[in-house]
Amino acid sequence: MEKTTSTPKGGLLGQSRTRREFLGTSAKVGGGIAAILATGQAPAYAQERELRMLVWSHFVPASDEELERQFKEFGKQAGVSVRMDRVAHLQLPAVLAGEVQGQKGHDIVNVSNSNPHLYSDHLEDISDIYGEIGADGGGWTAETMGKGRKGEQAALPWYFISFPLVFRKDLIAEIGEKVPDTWEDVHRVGMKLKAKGHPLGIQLAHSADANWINRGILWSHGAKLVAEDSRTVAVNTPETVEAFKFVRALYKDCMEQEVLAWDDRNNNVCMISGKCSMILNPISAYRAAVRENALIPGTQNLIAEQIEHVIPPKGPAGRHMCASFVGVGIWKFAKEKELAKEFLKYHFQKDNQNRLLVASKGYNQPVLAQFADHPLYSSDPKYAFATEIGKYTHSLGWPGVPTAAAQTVYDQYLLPDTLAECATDRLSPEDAVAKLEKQMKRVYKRLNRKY
Amino acid sequence: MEAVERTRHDLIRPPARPVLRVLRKMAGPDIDGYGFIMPAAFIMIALVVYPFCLAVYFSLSDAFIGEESQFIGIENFEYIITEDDIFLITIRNTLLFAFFSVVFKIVLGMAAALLLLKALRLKKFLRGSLLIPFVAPTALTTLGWWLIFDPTYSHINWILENVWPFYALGIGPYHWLGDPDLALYTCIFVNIWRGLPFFIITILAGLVSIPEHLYEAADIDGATAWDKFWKIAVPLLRPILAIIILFSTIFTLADFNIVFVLTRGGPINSTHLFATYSYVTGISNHEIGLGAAISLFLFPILVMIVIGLLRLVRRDTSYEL
Amino acid sequence: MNSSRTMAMDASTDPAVNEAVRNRTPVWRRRKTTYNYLALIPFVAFALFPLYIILITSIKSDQEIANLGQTPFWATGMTVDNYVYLAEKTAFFEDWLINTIIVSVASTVISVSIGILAAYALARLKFKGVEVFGIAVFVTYLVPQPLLFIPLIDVINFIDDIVPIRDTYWSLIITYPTFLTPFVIWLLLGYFKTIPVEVEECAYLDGCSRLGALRRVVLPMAMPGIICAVLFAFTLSWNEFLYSLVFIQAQEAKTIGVGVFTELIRGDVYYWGSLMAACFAGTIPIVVLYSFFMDYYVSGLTSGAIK
Repeated sequence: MEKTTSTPKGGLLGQSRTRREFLGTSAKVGGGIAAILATGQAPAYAQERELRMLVWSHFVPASDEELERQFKEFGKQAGVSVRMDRVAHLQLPAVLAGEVQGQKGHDIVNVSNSNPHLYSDHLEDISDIYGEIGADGGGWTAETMGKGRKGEQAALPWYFISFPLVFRKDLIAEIGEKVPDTWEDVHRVGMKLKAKGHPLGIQLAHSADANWINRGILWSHGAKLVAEDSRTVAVNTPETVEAFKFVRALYKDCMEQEVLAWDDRNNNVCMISGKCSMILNPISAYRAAVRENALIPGTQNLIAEQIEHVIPPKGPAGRHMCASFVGVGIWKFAKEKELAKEFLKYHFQKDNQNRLLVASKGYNQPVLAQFADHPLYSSDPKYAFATEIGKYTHSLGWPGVPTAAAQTVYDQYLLPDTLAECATDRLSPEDAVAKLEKQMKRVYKRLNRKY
Repeated sequence: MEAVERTRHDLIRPPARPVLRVLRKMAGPDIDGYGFIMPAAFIMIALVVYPFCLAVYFSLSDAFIGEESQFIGIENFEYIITEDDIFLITIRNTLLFAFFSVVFKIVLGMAAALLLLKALRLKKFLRGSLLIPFVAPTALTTLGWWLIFDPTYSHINWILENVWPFYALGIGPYHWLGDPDLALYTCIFVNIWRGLPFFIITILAGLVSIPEHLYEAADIDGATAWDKFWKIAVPLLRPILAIIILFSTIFTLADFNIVFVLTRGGPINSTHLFATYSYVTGISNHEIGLGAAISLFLFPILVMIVIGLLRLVRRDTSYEL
Repeated sequence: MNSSRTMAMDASTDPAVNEAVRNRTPVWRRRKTTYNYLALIPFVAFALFPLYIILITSIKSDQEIANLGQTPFWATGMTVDNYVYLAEKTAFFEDWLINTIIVSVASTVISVSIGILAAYALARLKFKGVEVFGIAVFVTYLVPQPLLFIPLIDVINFIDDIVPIRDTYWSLIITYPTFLTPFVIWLLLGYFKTIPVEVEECAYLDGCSRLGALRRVVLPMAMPGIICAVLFAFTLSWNEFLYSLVFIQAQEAKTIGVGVFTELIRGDVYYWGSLMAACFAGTIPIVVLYSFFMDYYVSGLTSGAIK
C-alpha cells in the first residue's frame, strides 16, 4: 500500500527526459532494479517513473498472466516500474468514463470495438507505430479497427473474439441430423432438440453475446443497422423485419424464456451443464468445460469431448457474424506516452504476440496476417473453424466503420431489447424495427454532428 | 416514562463572557453550535454540494462522456417524460417496489415481532439470526441470491421439480429472473429479505414498550386477543410504523445493489429502478445529461418526504403513556 | 423513564424472571409456546437460507456445482479448494480484506466523530440555521450516489494533484463519510434525545464546559447508540462498491466488493465456488462483529427510529 501512496506523480525527473537518456542511467542501476523487481518490494525512490496499463479481466486468466509477464519484462528493460490493473469487462465502461471525465488515470488502456472512435478526442494518434507494426507483421487483417474520427489511428487492433456455433455432436447425432450450416438448419435442429429437453441458447438480454450474435443473424438475412457511409440509419427494411421474425421463431420454437435474463456466462453454463444443445460463443465455453471436468448429467462422460465448434451459420444473404475487436490505445493525458508506445512496439513483436496467443489458448484471434494460420489452430480439430472464421467476422457498424454512434447503440443494447420485445410478442416485428430505428436515429443525430 | 423532555430553550448553559452575548443575540443562544456542525458541513459542501451542483448542471445539458457539453434547458426532462418508455416503466417499478416491499415487511415484521415477544428462550439466537440479512453486506449476499435464482442452477426450481408435493402439482419451473413479468417480484422478494429485520426489530421494540397495564385493563373489560391487537397495539405502534415506512420507502427508491446484481435492469428493461436506470443511462450509455435528469427527477419529491419525516423525527413522538 | 435502553425489549434478561414465568405457565399455555417457536422456524429459515447456500456452494468442487443431476443443497465431496484459490490466486486475504478493514475502520471513526458533534448540536443546541442544517443533512442522504461519482472524480483529482490519493484507500476514506455521516447523524440524533437534559445541567453546574459535558456525561450514556452507529457505518462501508470501483484499479488497493467482482467474474466464466467462498469470508467478519454488540445495535437502531 505504502508504495502506491508515496509514488510521486509524473516522476521526479519530469517529462523532459527521453527514454534513451533514461535507459542510459538505468543501465547503471539495472542490477539493483532487477533485484527489486525480483522481490516485488520496490522502495519509493526507485519508482521515478511508472507505466500503467488498464485491461479487462481476460476471459482466459493465463492470458493476463502472460501479458503481465511481458509488461514486467519491458519495465525491467526500460528501468521503470510498471503496473497492470484489471477490471471486469462489464465495469470497464465506468472506469474508462471516469478516467476521461477526470483526464487522469492509466497510460495504456484497453479500448475495444468502436471505443477508439468514441474516445477519439482523448486518445493519442498512434498511426506511426500502427504502420511499423503492420509492416513487420505482414499487414493488418482488421482494417477498420481502431480508427479515430479524423481517420487517425486512435488504437491498435489487438485481437478479435469470434463467435462460432458451439454444439453437442452426440445430441445432434442422436436425432440423426447433420451439423447445421444455415440458420434454417439451426431452427429445424433446434426445434427437434428442444423437444428432447436440449434447447438452443442465444441471449436476448443485456449481454455482449446478444449484441454480437443477433447482429450476425440480421446481417446474414440481408439487414443492416447502418448504411455504408456509417452515418445513415438504414435499419427499417423488409429484410430486417424478416430477420426479426426469424429470431422470434427461434425464440419460440428452440429456446426457453431464460434467454431473456442471460448474461455472457449463462450460455456457457447451459452448455456445460448438459442442458443446451447449441450456443454461439467463443471457445471459452469449451475451455470452461475442460477446466471444470464437467460431466454429461447422469453419466461419467466428460462433456467437453462432445462439444464441437463450426463456423457460424449462413442465411439468405450469406454468412456474416459480428464479433468483438479488442484494441489497445494510449490516452492523450497519459504521463508516459513515449514509454507506452515503446511498450506496444515491444508487445507486438512476433515472439511476444505468439506467446500471448498461445497463453490465451487461441481465444485471442490474431489481427496480424503473419499469425492467420497459427499452428495452434491446426493442433486441435476443435479449433478448425478459427482460421476460416475471420472472413465472415465484421466489427460493429458494418458495412460502415465502427463509430461512436455504433458503439453507443451497442452499449444501449437497442438491438437485443427490441428483438426481445418482438420475440415475446410485446411488439410486432414491424413495430419493433420501427422502434429500433427511432432510437438509433436519436443516437446518430446526437453523435453525427461531431464528425 | 414520566420524564417530560425539556425543550431546547430550557437548557442551562455554561456561563458566557460579555462579548458572546451580542453574538448570541444575533445567532441564537448556542453559537458554539456552529463549531459542532462545522466538520459535517465541510464534508457536505466539499464532497456533496459541489458534485451535486455539477449533477444539476449535467441534467440541463447534453453532457456525453468524452464530449464538450452544451446547456439545453429542460430538454432531457422532456425527453424522459414524453418519449422514454423505459423511464415510465421505471416509475411504475418504483411504485410497485415500494408498495409491495413495505406491505410485506409490515405484515411479516408484525407477525415475527409478535412471535418473538413470546419467545423467551433462545432469544439471543432467534433475534441474532433474524437480524443477519440486515447486517450482512448486500452486494455479497445478493450474489448468493443470484445463484439461487440463476436460470440454470435455480435452487427453487430444483425444489419444485424434485420435492414432493411440488413435482406432483406440476408447478414450475419459473424463470425467476428471465420472465419480464416475474423478475421485478423476484427483486422485491430479495429486498424484503434484506429489509425485514429492521421492521421486526423496530416493531418488537414498540411492542415491548407498550405498558402491560393497558392489556390488563383490557382483560378486565373482557377484550379478546384480536381486540387487544387492533385496539391497543396497532394504534400505539402507529408513529413507529409511519417512520419505518418512510425510511423503507427512501431506501427502496435509492436501491441499487439488488437490482444491479440480479438483473442489471433486464429482462427487456423491466426491472429498472431510478438508481440503476440513471447509472446505466449515464455511465454505460454515456449520456451523463440524461442520466442526471433521471436521477434528479424524483429529488424534489424525496426532499418533501424527508422534510415531513424530519418534522416527525424531531417532534416528540411520546406514544408512551 | 423516557429511556429506550430499558425499553428495548429487555423484559426477560433476568433468569429468575424466566424461571418464574415458566413455572407458573400452565400446560396448555406451554403447548401454545411450542407453536410459537414452530411458527418462528420459517422466519429463521428464510433469513439464513442464502447464507447456507453460499456456504454449501463454497465447499463444492466446480464439477459438482455444474452437475444439475444432484441436489444443490448438499455437498457430497466437500473441499476447501475454493478457499485455497482465494488465498493463493487472489489477494483476498492479504490485500482486499485488510484494505476493506482499514477503509471501514477509518471512515467509520471519521464519520461517527463528525456525526456525534453534529447530532449533538441538532439535538440540543439552539442557534440560527440549525433547522436548515438539519434539513440539509437529510437532503444530502438523498443525493443519488450513482450519479455523484462522476463529479466526485473531479474533487478526488483535485486533491490528488496535491497529495496522491487515487488508487489508494485514502480516496475511499475521504469519500465514504459523504454517505455515512448523514446516517450517523440521524441515528444519534434520536439517541441523544432520549438522554435527560438534567444530567448535562448537573455537569455544567459542576463546572464542565460544553465539550466536557458531552465527553464525560452524554457520550457514556449514549454508548449503545454510538455502538449502533459504529456498526451501521462499518457495515455500510464494508458494503460499498461504486466508489471503490471507480477510484481504485490497483490490484493491491482493492476492497473486497470490487476485488470479488473484478477477479472472480471473468467475462463469460464465473468462478461460482470461489465467488461464494469470497462472499462467505466477506460476510463472516461483519456477522461476528455484530454478534458481540447485538443488544446495543438493536437498542440504538430502535431508539433512532422511534425518537
